[in-house]
Amino acid sequence: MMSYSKLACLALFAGIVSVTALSQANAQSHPEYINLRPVAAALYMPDEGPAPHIAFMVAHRTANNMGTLACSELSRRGFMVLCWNTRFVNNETIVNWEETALDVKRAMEFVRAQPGIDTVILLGHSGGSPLMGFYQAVAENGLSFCRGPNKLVQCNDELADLVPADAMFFPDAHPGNGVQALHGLNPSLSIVDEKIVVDSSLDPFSPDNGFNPDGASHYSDEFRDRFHAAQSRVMNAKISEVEALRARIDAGHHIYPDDDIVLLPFDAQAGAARLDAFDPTVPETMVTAEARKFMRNDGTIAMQIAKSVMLPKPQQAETNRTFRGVKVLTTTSFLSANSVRSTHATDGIDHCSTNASTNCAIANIRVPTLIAAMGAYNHIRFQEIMYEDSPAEDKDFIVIEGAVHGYTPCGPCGTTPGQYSNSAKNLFDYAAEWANARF
Amino acid sequence: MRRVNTMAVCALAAMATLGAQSSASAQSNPTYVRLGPVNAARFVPDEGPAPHIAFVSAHRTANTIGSSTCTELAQRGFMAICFETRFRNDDIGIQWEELPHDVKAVVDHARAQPGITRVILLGHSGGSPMMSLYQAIAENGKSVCERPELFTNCTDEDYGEMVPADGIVYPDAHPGNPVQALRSFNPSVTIKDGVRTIIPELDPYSEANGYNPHGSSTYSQEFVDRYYVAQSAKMNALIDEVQHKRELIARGEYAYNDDDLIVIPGGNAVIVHAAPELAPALISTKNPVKIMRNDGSFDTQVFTSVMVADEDLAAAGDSLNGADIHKLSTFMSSVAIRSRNALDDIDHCSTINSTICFVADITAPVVFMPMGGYKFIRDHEIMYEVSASEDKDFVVIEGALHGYQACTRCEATPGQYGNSTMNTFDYIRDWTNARF
Repeated sequence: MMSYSKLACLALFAGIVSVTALSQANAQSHPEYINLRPVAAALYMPDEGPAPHIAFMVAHRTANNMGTLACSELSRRGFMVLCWNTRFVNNETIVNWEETALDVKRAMEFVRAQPGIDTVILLGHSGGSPLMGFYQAVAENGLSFCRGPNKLVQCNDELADLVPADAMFFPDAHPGNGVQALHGLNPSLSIVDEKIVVDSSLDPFSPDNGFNPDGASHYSDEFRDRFHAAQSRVMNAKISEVEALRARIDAGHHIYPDDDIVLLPFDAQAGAARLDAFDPTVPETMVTAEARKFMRNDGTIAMQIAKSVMLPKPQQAETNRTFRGVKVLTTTSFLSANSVRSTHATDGIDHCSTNASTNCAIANIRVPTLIAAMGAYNHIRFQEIMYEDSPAEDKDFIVIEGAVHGYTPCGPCGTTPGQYSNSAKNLFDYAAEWANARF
Repeated sequence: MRRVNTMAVCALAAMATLGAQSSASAQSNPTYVRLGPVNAARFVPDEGPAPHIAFVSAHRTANTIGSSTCTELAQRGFMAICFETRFRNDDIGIQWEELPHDVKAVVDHARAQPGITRVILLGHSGGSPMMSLYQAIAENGKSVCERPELFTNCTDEDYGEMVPADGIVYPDAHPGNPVQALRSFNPSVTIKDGVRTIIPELDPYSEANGYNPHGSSTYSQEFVDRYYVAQSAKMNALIDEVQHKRELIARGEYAYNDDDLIVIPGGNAVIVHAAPELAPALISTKNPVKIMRNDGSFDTQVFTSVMVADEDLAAAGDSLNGADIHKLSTFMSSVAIRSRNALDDIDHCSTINSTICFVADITAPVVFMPMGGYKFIRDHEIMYEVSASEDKDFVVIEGALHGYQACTRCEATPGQYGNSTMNTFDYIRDWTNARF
């Protein structure tokens, strides 16, 4: 029997091959490099057909998005697409969240100035979702959105007078970097005298608690509740520790006058301890609460409870305890982008305590909004919450069957070959129709 | 991290200048090209005959796509491909031995372009040791980076077939990142258990030792000599510390089973930036060399850089921004180097991150072009001396800063070095067209 790690590897490989094949087949001929210092961008245009009047903007807070699938898929459907990288590309350590909106602003100014463009849609995928959401929420609501006593970090006047986009498209948004960090924490581990100490009652990798190293784990309701409450305690303690450090720095009482390194052990995405990575049936993240639009592989749309078909990743347990599993941050990047206040990691989150929150942003965005969850990943329920909380009069929510986080089919998740083969096509066809129906 | 250090400030200033130039002279439609983890932009001349020569340019971590290099070269009739490596913007995570993969991807792409018969590597600053490693492996095989004396090697890398470039130009190369780190260490500073300690007799920011925050410092020669030795001692101690931790990790006696972070406070304490005239061994040639004057003429003489001291070098000395931050693994591949004296007793071939070491293995035509308003004058002359190429050239660009633009602070009269960027790329053009 094939191990789950091999299956996961195959899934990843299949995804990469699929992305590459799709991308090469449909790639636009000459995306143009655009230097928007400090932003680096690639401008994609349709190879043929009428000149576009709608432009999408695609970016992630730190990942390289200049050649991502959305760029070629949307441009071949007749849109202008600006795919770009922020000033913090490839470096989570130096992120200063509130500055990322300035990069969206830079790209927005460029796109708005392109001849023929009358409509701009922000595409927020993964780490791009709190990025685009934050920009739009500030643009629509002003600085009051990103300031207040509840905020871990206050924005400054540089974010005044942002020009809002005309619509938002969130394909597999995540709830925000702070929540991602919260969900990744392993509260059972601590480091004492250079040794890792394990609290077995909270250990997600103990068979006694439901862990299965060879397949899908099954955590009890009681364990999950205890674990998620403990994640919040660890995060809150870290926030207190870092805020105290920040205060010492600001008072001139620290060894460095500007900042210091903050390590968040056992939390980085590669080794995140989030329970749904091991038990993909957990309802807190993997299942919708209500019947929702569900786009099947054949392009038909049903109304049903949507459950993720994601496979478990027990091999991630090994990475959790490595240095690869450590987030290397500073007080700035921790407080501005990688923390959130909560009492419980799934149902007691103060999303608006951080400006790096998609959930908080969407609850303050009124332009037409499309939220599309991938049916083979772990953001289904949180995206449903975004939909529920959205005040937009024109809002839509759909789950794409069998799609992984990067939109491509999850091959090993199916029972027959090609079962989810149209996932990326379905997503972008739906988005194109949604945009063209409105603008 | 080291976002605020002299090199970074210089690079940023250079990029700003280059960026300003690039908007004026940009080629119309550079094409974005994604090559795996590499982002590249392919520039071609707006007019004139189709190029048969392609330049390939990059820095190990900086984004050079938007610099003037590619537009200047395309304006002169060449195809130019500027790219970002997989380690863009990430000095903490850089694994040096992986970089040849990225250079190879771009060289292969360049060779596949219709009409291109020659590919030339451009190694500037942090791009110089990277391009050198690629070319040395391409010409000689992986054995050059598998020597037992190396701190890290490329044994685990499968580069496939690497086609050598036809030539290399080095406009203000540097000797390698480990040498850069070595000469930047502040050996007077240690932080242990949250307490900062300074050894007064090694403190470069002490006015008692001759530090001048407003101009050139006046350290004694005895201080300078002691300082270089102490920098080497600090590097050697750090190497011992990192190797010890890695041994603990290997034995399973460490918190993590793979790696950890190391923070080195007080970087950017560079003698030549505080007092250029106290570092003649770095900023002067030993022998008469070719100098390209601002008016485009040439003469030959022993050359000394016109660089001036940085102001307020100590400003970032205490900050986290001024600290060197690495993983243990990246420290060994990108920082560690054996030495006894940071000035002139360095085992360049103890690291795979060394321009000086690998130019000795490269036989393709090569030109070394130090900028005459910066600090790498003697380093380039050493590269020239050890170069194995039968077709090698050396020229100093008068009054140019690290980013090729004029050192206006160095000028006695306004505009004295105003042609430095044009001269740099005109020389590259003529050197290239004369050979290919």
